[in-house]
Amino acid sequence: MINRIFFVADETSLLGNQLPDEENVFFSVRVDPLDEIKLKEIYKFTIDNPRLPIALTLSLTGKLPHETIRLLTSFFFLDSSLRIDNKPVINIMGDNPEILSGIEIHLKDYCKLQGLDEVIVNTIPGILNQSLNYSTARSPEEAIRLYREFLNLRHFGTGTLFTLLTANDNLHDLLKSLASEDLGLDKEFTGLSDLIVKCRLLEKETTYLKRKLLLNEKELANQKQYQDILRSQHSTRQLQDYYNNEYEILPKWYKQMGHVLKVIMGKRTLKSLFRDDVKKYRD
Amino acid sequence: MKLFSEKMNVPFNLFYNIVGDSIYTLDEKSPEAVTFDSSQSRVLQNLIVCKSSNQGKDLGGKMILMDAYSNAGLASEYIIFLQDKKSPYKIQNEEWKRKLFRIIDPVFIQEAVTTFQNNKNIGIVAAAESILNEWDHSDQSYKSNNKRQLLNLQDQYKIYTKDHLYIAGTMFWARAVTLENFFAKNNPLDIRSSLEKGNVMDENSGSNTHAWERLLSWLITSQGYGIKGL
Repeated sequence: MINRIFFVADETSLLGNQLPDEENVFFSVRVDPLDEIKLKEIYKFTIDNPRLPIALTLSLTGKLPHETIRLLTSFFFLDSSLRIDNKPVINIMGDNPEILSGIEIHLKDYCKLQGLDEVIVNTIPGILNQSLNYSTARSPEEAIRLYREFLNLRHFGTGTLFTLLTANDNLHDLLKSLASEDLGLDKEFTGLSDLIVKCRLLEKETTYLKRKLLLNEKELANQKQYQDILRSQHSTRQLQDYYNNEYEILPKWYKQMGHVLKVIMGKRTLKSLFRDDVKKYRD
Repeated sequence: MKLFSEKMNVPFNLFYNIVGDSIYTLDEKSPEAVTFDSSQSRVLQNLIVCKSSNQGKDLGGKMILMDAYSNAGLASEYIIFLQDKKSPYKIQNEEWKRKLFRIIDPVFIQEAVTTFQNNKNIGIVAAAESILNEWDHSDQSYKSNNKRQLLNLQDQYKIYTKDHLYIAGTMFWARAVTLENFFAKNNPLDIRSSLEKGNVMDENSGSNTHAWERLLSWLITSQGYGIKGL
């Protein structure tokens, strides 16, 4: 899809386990975050369905306790939870903007303590606060209309449509209808969708290379740290001290006797006691 | 994954953490997660794959996995801590790693289970050579760069032990109930938030991360359980 679409359902069973992979199409489960039992069920579902990465959509009516924020963060560590551009994703929705923004801050602060510096928190717009490039559809018909509006407004890759699913909706048919809107765009602007796809691929590659550069720089710093330790007096010094204390301080005649013992035990060749150009130790 | 399939001969759940922000895992697609089919494995019951930031080194990963263990509701009788041991600055690193991985050899597994079953007061079974003690009797304190952090964290979490033995490298078998008891009161993610980010070392100064390497053993022995080296 040219624009981003989130399908949001109240039950995991309504989500697209059977759908083919489609670029820019994501799945989410709506939950009251204070319902710990439901959250744990979704957690288990996420583990059991690695082919269907999902994000949580939180229905928020009040502040959340620390324990809940922590449990939400636990989802971000699951490999099978949804990531976009390598960042964990969560959606929030509710009528009180102050509550939403407070929870977003609380969640991001705790994530930073966990080394998750970048988390995508999408605020799903309500009926009264739809924005130009963030819209919410409450029926398949509305989804198609809003998606068409995105394209009419020339949102090519910058729109995000949240579609709230019900048990009666046919996800397969809806996705097909939305995809046909993208195809319709090509009739108006020949080759546009190809260009958008290429642009997206280049953006992905750029993001990947930037990340690779950053990680290589980190690794170089790590290697430098290792080198510094090796050059310092840590492990090598310990080994040298051990050698000095256990062997080097022994008298020379004792060490020489040791070499004769090695020959007797078959560990060293006899010739090597007298010559340097022969094999010294047996394999 | 292959390593576990080859070695483990008793039913187990695998909690597996990948450090995401590393050049070594950049192109890793977590094939285990995608291809795992419980019917294909005789002994692997469940696979839980996590992806973390580089915080707290292997201890940070273990805290995430303990959190996942608790959330997934897959209680076990024993927990084995393992990690892909990479300390390139250590001499004889490969030899050390080989010795530590010995704890999932079939013979060791048999001995560990028997030890736990026959000795109800044993909380940890580990490779004998990995059991260390940094307690300095003359000073009545720890001979370690992490001494300050150790004393602070012991007070904070009320982890007091008699013998100060710990498992270096944090690869060992633990009686699960001991970890469940501790982490029910002290959330592993909250502990992880106090661990240092990045490639933290303790060669020149101490760190919470390295202190927890010791405390992970002590939180078990402080409950009255002992350590058995095999």
